[in-house]
Amino acid sequence: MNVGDLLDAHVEEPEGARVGVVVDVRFALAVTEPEGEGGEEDRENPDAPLSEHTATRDEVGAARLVGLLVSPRSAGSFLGYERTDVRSPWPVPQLVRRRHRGTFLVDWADVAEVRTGSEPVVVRLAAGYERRSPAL
Amino acid sequence: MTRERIVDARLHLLSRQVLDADGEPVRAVDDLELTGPDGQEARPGEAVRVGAILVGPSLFTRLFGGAVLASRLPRIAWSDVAHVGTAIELSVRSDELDADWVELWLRDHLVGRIPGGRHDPEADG
Repeated sequence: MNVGDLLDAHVEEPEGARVGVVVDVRFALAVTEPEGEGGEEDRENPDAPLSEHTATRDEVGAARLVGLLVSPRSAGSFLGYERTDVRSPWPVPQLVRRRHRGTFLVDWADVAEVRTGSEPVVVRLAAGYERRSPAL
Repeated sequence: MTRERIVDARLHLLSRQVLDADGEPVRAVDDLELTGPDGQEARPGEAVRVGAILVGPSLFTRLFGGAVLASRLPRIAWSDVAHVGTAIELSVRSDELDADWVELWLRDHLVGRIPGGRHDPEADG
């Protein structure tokens, strides 16, 4: 299964009622902070290999699948506005938020079935699934 | 210290540039392959993680429709990823990746046979 299979998939409740479309897939990256004080520094010498610089920065480990973001209306990109509190450029956030009101995050543990054989792909949720806040 | 950072696939991962350990651009992220904890098939409701970044000749299928089998797409193991920021930076050099085999094959068999094709302009300073 790929992320591309899940994006734009139709989401159904256990009884078959349609609740929306998968607009994004959320992951939790395990990030290891670099040793020492001061945190991340800018890369100042462009001739030095990037690997020297990345060695002093946080390092990414496994990417765990957290859940699916489901929008009841539109499958279109929503630029992340409803997931953050960014307010400009006015009126783009207002319009995008209105288009995607009702968007929720559903835990991967609450997904009962993913039918990839058909087109479109259908995601069926488990009974008693919980609608969580989509905020990042 | 280890902590968790939340990212969304469309916002932070898909279509991002992949850079190798030298900062050379490799490919863009076309898709992400999901696997179970022991590398088996990802199953709904159970623990799932990203197994690999899929990079591939997606232009053809984007223009003409259809889909390439995911198992046939060139991939970069997620364990080679060192940093996720504006770009996705790897801990390995692109020469070690199978994902660039078309470019490497053309370099060795086509461009390298053109007179001057093995000349490295950056080595002249």
